[in-house]
Amino acid sequence: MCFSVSLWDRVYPMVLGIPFNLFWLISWIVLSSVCMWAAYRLEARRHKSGDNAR
Amino acid sequence: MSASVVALTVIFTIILLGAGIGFVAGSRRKMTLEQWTVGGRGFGLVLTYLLMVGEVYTTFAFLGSSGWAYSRGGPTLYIMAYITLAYVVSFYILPPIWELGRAHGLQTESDFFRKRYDSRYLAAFVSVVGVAFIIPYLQLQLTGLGIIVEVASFDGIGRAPAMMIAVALLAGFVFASGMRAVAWVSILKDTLMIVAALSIGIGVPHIYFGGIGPMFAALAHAKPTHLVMPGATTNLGHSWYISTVLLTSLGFCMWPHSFGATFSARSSDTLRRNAIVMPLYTITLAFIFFAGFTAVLVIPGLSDGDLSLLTIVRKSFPPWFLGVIGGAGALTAMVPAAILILTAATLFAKNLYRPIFAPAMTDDQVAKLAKMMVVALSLISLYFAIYSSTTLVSLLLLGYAGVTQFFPGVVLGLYWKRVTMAGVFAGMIAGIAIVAFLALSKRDPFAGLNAGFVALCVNFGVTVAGSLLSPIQPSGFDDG
Repeated sequence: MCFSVSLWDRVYPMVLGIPFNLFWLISWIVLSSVCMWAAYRLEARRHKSGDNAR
Repeated sequence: MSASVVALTVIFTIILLGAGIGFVAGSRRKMTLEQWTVGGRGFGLVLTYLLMVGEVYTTFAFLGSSGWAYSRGGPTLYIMAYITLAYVVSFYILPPIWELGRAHGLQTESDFFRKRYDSRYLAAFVSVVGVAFIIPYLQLQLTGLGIIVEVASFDGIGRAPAMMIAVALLAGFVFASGMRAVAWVSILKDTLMIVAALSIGIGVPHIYFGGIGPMFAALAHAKPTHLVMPGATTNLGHSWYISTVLLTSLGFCMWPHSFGATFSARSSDTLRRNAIVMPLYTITLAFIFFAGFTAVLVIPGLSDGDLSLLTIVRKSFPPWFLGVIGGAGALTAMVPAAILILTAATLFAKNLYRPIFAPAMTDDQVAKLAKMMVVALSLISLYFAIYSSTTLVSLLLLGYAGVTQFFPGVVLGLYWKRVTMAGVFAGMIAGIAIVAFLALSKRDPFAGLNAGFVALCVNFGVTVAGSLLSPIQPSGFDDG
């Protein structure tokens, strides 16, 4: 993953008027939150099937 | 009234409002050592969130990141990547740390090392390193406060006297309040911070270019290389970016104050849910970058990039609004500074002085010593802030290079049974020695990599090798 920097570190194409590299990072902020939320839900479900406390 | 009086009056009103909230929130509880340092270990989702936002979004995010966007360009993007990844790391390592904290009554990062590796000397060493690298972070906040007063007074008040006023206010605030009060002041601080970021991030490009899109188009046309790495620098390219993002995202939870804040949470679930929500707040940073990038074209040639945000606000808006932005900036410096001072003072008194020099001290005496350290630390940081000149971002990176050296000891301590005190101690000393050597001899970045990252790799190697060579040592967390 981390060696992909040279692929996205570019100004064009601009998305919504924002340089591509900045847009890429903002997208990953949102995606990271979504991924962690998904992981949290999966884990919570596993706990639930283990015991009926929640 | 002159413009500077208007701006300064608004700033001080906001500071007093913040201090007022702190005094009210802190005055209703009896201040034991545990109450002062970890708020009695009962912070729910909201207070934990406030405390963590309070300590993360510092004047580094406000003045430092816009300053780098102005003076360095592309490399500044590392900030957005590292904060996001840092929360992913925290999602996995903070909940187990919290569980251990509750089971063993831990209050500080040094407590963790003392209990896991059964060594008060290792714990004392962690305290020394922690306090030493908190000082550049504190210096950063004081410098930020100085810049705010300097710009808001239209250069009528010098930076040094401004910083002295700030230190007096800060020490008084920390003395009287404690961690819970600081968390509550974050409400005002972060509301103002979001308002400030959005209004200048959208407003400033709009005034000069008619919007954010046209501003970037103009900047990409005028300075095609500014927006990508290495931007306006020669040595902050992609390998620097990758190594810096790794170093800082791993090191994020290793700051003694972040580590300590973990213990304030009411449950480990609180910490997980925090980690999910927190990255979204980072988006406000993009708006602060926008203001810094606009300043490149509108006010070129500033000698100190860290002045760029406030200088362009002063040029674009009426004085009262400069005051609002300055007040938001002042609180974004004072709230984290208060947390940093509280943490460092507690580390010194509880984990360094008492166990090594005066084992018979009572908790009350420790609390008294910690309060004396508040004054000492403020003065030391003030000294450095007055007599050194580096960018705000460089100060934070120096701090990260230091505190991230705790990472192998913490993570291997959590997940690897074979790690020993001797290995961790040797690795940490090697790491800190390399950081000190590379930083003092101005070899950062080293071979295109962040110097702290180079040190972290050596540290990991030495820790693992040293652990395998030394006799097996049971974990201090196992004996209940």
